[in-house]
Amino acid sequence: MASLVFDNVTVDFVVYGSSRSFRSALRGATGGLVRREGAGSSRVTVRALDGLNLSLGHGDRLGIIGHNGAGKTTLLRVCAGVYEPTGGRVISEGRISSLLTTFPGIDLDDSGYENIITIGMFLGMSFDEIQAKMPDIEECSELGEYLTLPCRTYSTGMLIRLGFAIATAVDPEILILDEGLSAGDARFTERAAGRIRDLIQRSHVLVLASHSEALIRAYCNRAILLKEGRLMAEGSVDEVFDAYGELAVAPESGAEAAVT
Amino acid sequence: MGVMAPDYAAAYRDLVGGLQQVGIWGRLGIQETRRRYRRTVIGPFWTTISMGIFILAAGLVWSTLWRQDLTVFLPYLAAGMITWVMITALLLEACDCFIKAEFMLKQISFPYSILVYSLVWRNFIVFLHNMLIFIAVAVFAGIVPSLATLAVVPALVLVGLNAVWFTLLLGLLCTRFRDLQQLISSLLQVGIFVTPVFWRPEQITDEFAALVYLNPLYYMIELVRQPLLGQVAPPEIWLGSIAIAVCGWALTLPFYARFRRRLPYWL
Repeated sequence: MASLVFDNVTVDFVVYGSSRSFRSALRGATGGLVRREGAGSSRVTVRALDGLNLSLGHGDRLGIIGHNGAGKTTLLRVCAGVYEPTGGRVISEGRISSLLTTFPGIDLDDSGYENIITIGMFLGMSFDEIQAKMPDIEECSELGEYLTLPCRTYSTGMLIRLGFAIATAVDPEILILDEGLSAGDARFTERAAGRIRDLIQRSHVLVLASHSEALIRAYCNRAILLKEGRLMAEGSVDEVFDAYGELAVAPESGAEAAVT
Repeated sequence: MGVMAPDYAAAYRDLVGGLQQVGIWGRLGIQETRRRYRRTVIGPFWTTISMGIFILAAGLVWSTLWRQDLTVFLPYLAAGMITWVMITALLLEACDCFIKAEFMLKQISFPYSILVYSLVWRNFIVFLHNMLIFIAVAVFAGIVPSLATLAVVPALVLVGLNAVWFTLLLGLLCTRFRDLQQLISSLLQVGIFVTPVFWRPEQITDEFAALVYLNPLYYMIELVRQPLLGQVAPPEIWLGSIAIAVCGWALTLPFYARFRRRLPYWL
């Protein structure tokens, strides 16, 4: 059974090479809590996630809501295993696939086919699995003969289609999705939406971050609201969107107040 | 940072799990080599040719200057030079092996060691290309392969074991401290003159002998060079290389166990 459990997860970023001016720039920014360690310390840390507890099991489809800099992407990256938390633990069971971008490292000098295999392997597929999925990827990318040519001959839209076709070919148990998963022109966007729907249906657990209420309402059965890396609300999609609405109305306390 | 306990289990999973994924790192190494062939007729052989010209010219000049027999000096120079180039290319490229993969490292979770193995493997492929120079020189000098030549296989394995630890260690350190790469490249420019590649260790006076015997690069070069020239390297060279591997891993493992998880944060 696929599961994903967060136990008091905290993520602190140390900002390296921050100058005084950069530090003061950080104070005005929205985002995680900016702090300096000790008196006169030159080390600046940003707390991107603060003591998060979360438990997802089979069938859970979680939407993450929050303003820019609330910690959504960091949370996705922790789910994906890219960042190990600096405090607390993440316990996961099941194959995790993270689609945070449609360009998972396409090499422009390689042909489309070569990229499909290399990226597919990085995404955790075996060579045979990729071969089995090849017709599906070929069809989705709509690239035809272009797949035999180096990717530097592709237009931006074609690169996006290739990346998207590979990225959505995986069979994840736990699927981590960022809304940034764009898909080129309008006609392709329509088809892409169908493909994402299929992908979500194939997965057992979903974590999706988005600003789009429609997207989260369409795919999620649970939601959380993040603000400055802290869990502000948790529950059904309706409840959390209500809380989000209140947050938007409330006067912006911002990061400024948090910095001392 | 820094206060977290070393996680040996995770480091082990990364190193062994990465090694098992030979499908990926083997492929990455070959793809990178193929890229160098693209749109060129002879691809990576261009580096081989330019190195060949250098070895021939330098061999002719120095063997005359130092009154050495060309058929002795040229194979010595060729064998040392191609080994030197492999090891120093690894040292240099190790510095940005994680930095260059920033995009991947921030999107997907995979054993970081894959990047290290693919780098070592790719430089080994380049070494094989450059071996053609040595083979040509050996034919010219009349070096006949013997049983001792076979020692080049364990020698390269030992160099590979060393290469993996220093690539991993430098890759991590350079991701955190970006100045290090500049330092290493300037050290290596001097390195070729103080390491016995152009000259023989017995040519140096006693007061500078430490340059040879305390120089880890000397051990690794001698280890590969001697069997190519038809002799097994003396035991102290083997023991020295093994000691470097043991010490290197003893340093790298705890370091990797502690800081592996910091890597994506440093990017």
